[in-house]
Amino acid sequence: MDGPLSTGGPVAEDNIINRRGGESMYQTCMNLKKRLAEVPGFEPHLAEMEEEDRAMGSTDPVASLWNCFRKGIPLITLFNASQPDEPLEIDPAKVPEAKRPKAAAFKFLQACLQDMAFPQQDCFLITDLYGENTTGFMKVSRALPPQSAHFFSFCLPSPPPPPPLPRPATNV
Amino acid sequence: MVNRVLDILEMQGQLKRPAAGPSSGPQTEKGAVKLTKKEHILKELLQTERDYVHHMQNLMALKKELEETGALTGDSSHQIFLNLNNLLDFAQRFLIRMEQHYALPEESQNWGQLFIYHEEGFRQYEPFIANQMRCDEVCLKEWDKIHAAPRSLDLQQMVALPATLNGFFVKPFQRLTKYPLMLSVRSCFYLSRSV
Repeated sequence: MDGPLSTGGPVAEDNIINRRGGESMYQTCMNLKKRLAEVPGFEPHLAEMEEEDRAMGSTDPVASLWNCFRKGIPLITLFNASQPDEPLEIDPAKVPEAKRPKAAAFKFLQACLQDMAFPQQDCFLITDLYGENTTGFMKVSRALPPQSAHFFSFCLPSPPPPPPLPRPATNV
Repeated sequence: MVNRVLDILEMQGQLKRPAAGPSSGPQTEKGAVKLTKKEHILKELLQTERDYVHHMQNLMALKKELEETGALTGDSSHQIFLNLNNLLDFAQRFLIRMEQHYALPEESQNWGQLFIYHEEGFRQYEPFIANQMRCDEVCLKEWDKIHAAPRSLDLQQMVALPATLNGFFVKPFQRLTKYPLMLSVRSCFYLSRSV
C-alpha cells in the first residue's frame, strides 16, 4: 500500500480529491484510550473516566477523553511520564481549585513547546480544549503525521534511556 | 497532539507494554467473518461517512488557509463558506454517534431513530446548500486569489480548477441525498426477513 506498485496497471493518482477518510475521531480516541493505559500513573484518570461513563451511561470515547483532558491534571500526568528534570505540578495551596484545570493545561502546553520542542502551529490552543467545537478537540487529540518525522529527529538525540528490548517470551 | 506526546514517551521507552494476550480481544466481533448484505451496507454507510467528514475537514483547512494568507476578506470568506464551521462540527458529532451505534449489538441498532434524533443538527445543511449559487459566484470572482494562495500541495490540489473546488462544496448535498437511499435499501432487508 505504501509505495506505488510497478505492475503497470492503472494507479489512482494520490490527490486530495480522491483520498479516503482514514482514521475518524472516534477511532483516534478509542486508540488513544488504549495508549493512555500504557502511561505510568495514568490509571486513576482512566478509572475516573470509566466511572463517569458508567454514571452517565455514555459510550462516547471522544466525550470522555475531552472531559478528561479538560481537567488538566491528566495532561500533567502525561507529560511527567517522560520523567522530566522538573516534573510539572500545580500547588493546591497557591491555585484555587476552580482554576487548576486551566492552569494545568497551560503548563502542559508550555512544557510541550519548550521541553519537547513542539512546533507552535501544531499545539492546540486553550480555547480548542475548552471550546465546544469538535474541530478544536480534534487538534488536541490528533497528531499531524507529516510533521511527526521531523519531530522525532528533533528529540531523538536527547533522551538517554533506550527503549527496552523485546524480551524472549518466557512468562507467556 | 496528545497522540504525539505519547509517541515521544513510547520512543523513550516510558510506556508500560501491555501484556501479550489481550490484543486479540476487542476485534473478535468483526474479524474475518463474512458479512451479510445488510452488514455490507452499514459498513459502506460508515466508511463513506468517514470519507465525507474527511473531505469537509479539508474544506475547513482551505478556509483557514485562505483567511490566514489574507487571500480572502472576512466578508468574502463568509459568503463562500457560510456556516461550514457549524456544519463540520455537526458532521463530526454525527459520525461519532454513527460509530457508537455501529458498535452496538445488531438487535439494539435502530438507524432510522438515530437520524430522527439528530433532525435538528441536520438543519445546518439548509443554509449551506442554499448558499451554493452565491458561493460559486464569489469563488469565480475571487478565483485568482483563491488559486494562488494555498501553500501546501494538498490544498493546491483542491483549487486546481474551479470545478475541483466546486466538487467539495456540493458534497454536503450529495451526502444528504444518499442517506435515504442507503437506509431504504437496508430496510428492504428487514422487511424481507420479517415476512
